[in-house]
Amino acid sequence: MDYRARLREASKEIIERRIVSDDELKKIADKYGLPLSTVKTLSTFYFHDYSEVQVCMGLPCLLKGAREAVKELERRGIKYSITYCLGYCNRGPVVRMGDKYYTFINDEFREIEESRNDYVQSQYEPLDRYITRGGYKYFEKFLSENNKLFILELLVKVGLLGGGALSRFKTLASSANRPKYLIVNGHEGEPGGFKDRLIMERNTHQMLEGALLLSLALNVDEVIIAVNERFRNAKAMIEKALSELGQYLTSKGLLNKLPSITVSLVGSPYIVGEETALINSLEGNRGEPRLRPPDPTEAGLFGKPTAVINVEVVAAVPILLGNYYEGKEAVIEKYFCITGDVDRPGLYREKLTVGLDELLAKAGVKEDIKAVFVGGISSGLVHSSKIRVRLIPEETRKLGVFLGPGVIIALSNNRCIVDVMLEVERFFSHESCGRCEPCRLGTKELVDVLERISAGKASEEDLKWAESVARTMMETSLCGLGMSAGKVFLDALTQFRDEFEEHIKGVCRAGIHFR
Amino acid sequence: MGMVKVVLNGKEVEAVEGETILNLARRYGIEIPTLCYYEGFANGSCRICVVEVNGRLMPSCITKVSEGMKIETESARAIETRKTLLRLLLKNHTHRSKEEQMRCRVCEYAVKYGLEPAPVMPDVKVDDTHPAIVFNPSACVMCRKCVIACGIDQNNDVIAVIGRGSGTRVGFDLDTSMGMSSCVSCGACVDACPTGALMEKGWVPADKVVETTCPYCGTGCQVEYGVKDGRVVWARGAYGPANEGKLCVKGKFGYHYVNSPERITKPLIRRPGIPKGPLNGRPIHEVFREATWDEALDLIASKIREILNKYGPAAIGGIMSDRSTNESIYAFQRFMRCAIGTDSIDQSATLCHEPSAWSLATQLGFGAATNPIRDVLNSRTIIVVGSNMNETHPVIAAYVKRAAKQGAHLIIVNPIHTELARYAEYELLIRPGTDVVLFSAMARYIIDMGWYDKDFISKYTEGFEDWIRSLGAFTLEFAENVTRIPKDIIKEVARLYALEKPSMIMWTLGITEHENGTENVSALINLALLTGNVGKPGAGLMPLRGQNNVQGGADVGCAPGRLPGYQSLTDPEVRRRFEEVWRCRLPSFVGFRSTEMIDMARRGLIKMLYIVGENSVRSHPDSKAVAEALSKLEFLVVQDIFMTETAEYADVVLPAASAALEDYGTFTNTERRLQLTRKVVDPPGEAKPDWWIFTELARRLGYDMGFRNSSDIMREISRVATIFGGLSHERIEREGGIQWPAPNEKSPGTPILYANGFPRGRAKFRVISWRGVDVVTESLYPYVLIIGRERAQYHTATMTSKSPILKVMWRGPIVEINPEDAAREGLEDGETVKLVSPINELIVRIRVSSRVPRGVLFTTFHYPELWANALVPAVLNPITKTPAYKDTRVRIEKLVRT
Repeated sequence: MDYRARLREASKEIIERRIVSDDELKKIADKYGLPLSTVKTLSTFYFHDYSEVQVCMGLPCLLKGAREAVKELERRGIKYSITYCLGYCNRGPVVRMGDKYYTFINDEFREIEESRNDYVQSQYEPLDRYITRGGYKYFEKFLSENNKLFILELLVKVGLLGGGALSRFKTLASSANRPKYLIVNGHEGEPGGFKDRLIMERNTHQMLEGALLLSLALNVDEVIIAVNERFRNAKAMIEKALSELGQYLTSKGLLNKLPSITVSLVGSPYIVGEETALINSLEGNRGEPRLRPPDPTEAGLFGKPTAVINVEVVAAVPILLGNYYEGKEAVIEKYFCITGDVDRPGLYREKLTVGLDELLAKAGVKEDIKAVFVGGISSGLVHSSKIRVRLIPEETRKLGVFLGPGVIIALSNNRCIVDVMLEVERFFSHESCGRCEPCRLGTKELVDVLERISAGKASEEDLKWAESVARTMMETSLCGLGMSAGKVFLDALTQFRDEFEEHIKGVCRAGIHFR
Repeated sequence: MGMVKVVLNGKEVEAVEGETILNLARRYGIEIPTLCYYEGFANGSCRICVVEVNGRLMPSCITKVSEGMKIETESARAIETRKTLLRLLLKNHTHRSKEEQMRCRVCEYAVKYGLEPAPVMPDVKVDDTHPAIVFNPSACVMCRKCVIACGIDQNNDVIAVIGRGSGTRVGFDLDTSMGMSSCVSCGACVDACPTGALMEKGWVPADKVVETTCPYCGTGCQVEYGVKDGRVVWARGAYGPANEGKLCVKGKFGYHYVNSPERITKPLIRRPGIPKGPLNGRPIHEVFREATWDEALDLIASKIREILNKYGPAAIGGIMSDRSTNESIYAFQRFMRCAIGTDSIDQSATLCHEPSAWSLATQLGFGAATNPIRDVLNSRTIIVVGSNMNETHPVIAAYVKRAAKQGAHLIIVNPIHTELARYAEYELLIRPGTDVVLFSAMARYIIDMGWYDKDFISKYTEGFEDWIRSLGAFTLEFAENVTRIPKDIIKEVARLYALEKPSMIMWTLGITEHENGTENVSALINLALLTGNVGKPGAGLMPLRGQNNVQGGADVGCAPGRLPGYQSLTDPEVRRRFEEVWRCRLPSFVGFRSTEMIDMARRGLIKMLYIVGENSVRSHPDSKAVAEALSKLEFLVVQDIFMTETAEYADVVLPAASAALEDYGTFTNTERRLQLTRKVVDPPGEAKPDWWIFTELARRLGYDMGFRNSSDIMREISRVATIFGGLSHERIEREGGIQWPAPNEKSPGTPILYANGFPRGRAKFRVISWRGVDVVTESLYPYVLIIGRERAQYHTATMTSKSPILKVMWRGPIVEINPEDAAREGLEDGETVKLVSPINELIVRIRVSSRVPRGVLFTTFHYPELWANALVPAVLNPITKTPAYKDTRVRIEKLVRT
């Protein structure tokens, strides 16, 4: 095996077996003939702060009592570590013990049913059932189309794809530089997001058909479905579906006419979901973002043109194609994952024309709402006075948020904004890849300042300093993570400056601090 | 190259399309602060270099210019952002010493931007476990330059980023201390570090810094030496074309010899009546007396006249050092040929790569590597054969490793497991001495499969049909049987080499130091011609030269029968031209090679030798015979920078200047590139440059060479040899290193040979044969002893042993043996045994090591405690007279313990 192949295999094994001990790492280095530093850097990146028991401190879990879960673990003398997003955000606070997932309710840890393999198996939609509900109905017709790019235009039309991405994908489709790749991004590390995992587990065939359709439109040679290593059930379902699909395509005489399609686990850290970081992870490197340019559509996986498209978008393709051939209007229902201070956290499917306030009402939001994270904590914080908007791209853009992950986290008036932002910045500081200085040092600095504000030890000077740090992060970070960490801090500070200033004077209106 | 117009700080300027803003600004003399910038690699992590572009902040080191950009490098917003970033860095930053702070760019910028520099806290916790480097984590700003240096540029892969999040840091191996790690001490991390967090132990600021070419191997790295009070105090990599800033442990930490108190500082004349040979602990002054230059040179001149009168010019021979400059070597050969009249002159190539030079010259035209080193990054398949380059040519290995990491197929052929194999796709642990069989079988298989380059062969080559007919015996089965490499692997390697093109072959002395070294090299050349892997980027034939100027030594004619620029002594027209320029009569005989000269001396036919910078008694085979030969000479002159074991046999010892650090001139590296050496320090005492000594001696013999300085010599070289026609010191100072042939001032040099065909018309396939080892020899002497080198030492260690740092890194005077062999012989690790070869025996300490396969022993010739070459019989290659250092048959005898 050449060096790159050995590196890839070793990285896969480290991720799959969650290898952290030096003894085991040494064995891996020997087995694949790699430098010790190489296996160490991979392991410590993917399993930074790892232990058999992990408590999610993602905002949705935190709002549902992750701190209480921590206290209980400490009371029982169980060693644990902090992590961010284990999935199942609507069942928080989530605790992972080995391969099992628990929620902490009424002072006890209860296994989350949806996380059990037998449960996931029972929800799986086999190929025959998928076909009965219309799967692969227009596949062959599409195959015979001369210009297949219209399918991308449909995605733009319904708001699942941006105009910039469309033109890059068109360039990729016509590029002669081969092999070309399509990566289906099944990472979903955003705290509060759980739609992609559910699609992979339940609408597996729909996603696979979407991937094949897109691979034809994009004219690629290989499709790789990159699944977060925490979603082992999803991977099992995809493998099952792939074997069914293989037989089906063989029987139709299509197998050799289509690009190969495989599934691969990638590391779980938040940043790996960024598309160039995902590519790095698939190549067997640390899942850190790359410099741009070049865009992955020019030089991505192994330096070849690569399209990275999210699971939800991929799974929408067969539906849009059906609508198109049946002459229906191109509309799609977007998935929303709603958590936080609502009565009915969970997955909602709505047209994009839905109002944010309507959506929150459906999830059972309380009257006294203070603010909402729209698109996740890395997208933006929206004051309650601004929530009467529709979620179409034109309106969300004005709010300065990006809806992609569909994550909505509601904060009630009982929440202290300083406390929430402290946890948000702790998340960024924990999940920064550590590569660029504004993010590595800026997130740490914001945590420091927020801790001092929480303790009533900060001054107006500190606020100014934090503001300039956050602006520098926003303007100079290498990737979206550092930019977001600065941006959401500024979102909070500009919209809730009075609360920050009250803390400097020793007042916390939510009654969290200074008790 | 397209040009674009941009506005830079309010002024419209022209920019080269594709260059970075930083590059553009620097070209216009605008300084932008940088911390993480690493030339040649996109890092972009510190963002301190932000500038405002059309109202947005952009990191200038990775942002490329484009038409219409409005760039403000000093806008209030850019400066404010830099200050915020500096404040963040300074909050997490302390120094352990004033010296460390002096090395810190963060603190330098802090002062510049009106901030407080980081505090000096002497008791901060550091990692000082490494013999030469201190790591202070508290000064580290995670710019990751050391990670690039170690893991992407040098590819030693010791330093890596540990962890994730704001607590990421750098660590060594599995996060152990630096001293315990697999660090090979190349020093690239230290040279890269912008804060002093990684720094040489005991570093002091220099009074001046001078750039020159490294004195060690043939890679031709450019080095900057720091000089304080007339002594070299540190070295760091400079950005030359062959090394791009990199050095190895010898280049980085092997400079101490220059300052050594053991340097010879005055001419020495043997006291009367003291027998020649080892000093055996006697002080030098008891054996030699100091003399003036006049006295020593007069004595030598009179001895030369006396011997010429008694025996004629054929009784005098000279061996020149390839550590010297082209100019000095040229002066030597002219002095020997014209002032003395002998053609028995040689250089060290005879002991190492002459089989490569001979076969390449015979079959292709030039006796030199065909492509630049860096070109290996364009190869898709790379075969490295008979080379432990990770230790002997670490900077070249860096490029090979980088190519492999980028996806090239790397194939290693070597009897011994080498470090480079970690990066390889295939490692072929070949049975020693069977290379011809392997490469001929690959050729036969490629022909059988129809994978050869028919166009190339018909257009550019001759002798193809004859050669094909000679391959009949080399079947895959035969090859598997003889080489012990499974035939499926031979097939796959042949496929990669023939089809995954361009393919390059690199080799060192594992190919040449055999009785059939010329055949080995020809087998490689034939394979390259067969597949058309010559004359193209990423292809080619690359002998890796072992000494800084061994290529140059041959180029300027320091070899019997060969005048400067590869012109034949026996060609009447060539003779006429040289005799006209040199105003002398050239010798009318072709002289002897160095190994033959020693033999002639032993047999009493050569009466005087002039040995410059060669430790012959330890570097030639059969040391006993060499000692006998040197003792028998009527007169021996040794010119060196140290009192070597060879100088102990001399009648006169002349103190030489170090060519690389105390003289001005040129070295030619392994890729035919002429680069400058500069005077970094003055020679100690009365030591003189080699060329000066030869010029003075010639004058005393009534022959004025007319050289006032080395530039005069360079001018003459370019006049007499077409391949150097366009070269001069002035031009190389101006343009940097240039690769010959460069026939005129306009020629940019020739990075790739034979791109437009072959100078001899057609390249030639050479029919070669192979024969196995004689059965009787094999049963009497069941082991093959391979004598090579190790990373931190160099040849007979006259230079490297003076460095305290290199000394602690040595492997020691030991002989490595496979664990199974050791068990069968009943030997334990560290046991002392007797090694018996057909000509000699030695008591040695063994080390059990799985690096060597069964039936093979490995040792080095670095240690005065272990004269390994004493075991090597003077069995020479019939053409080039090169000894078989890689193929000495020995047996092991257990010592009876008392």
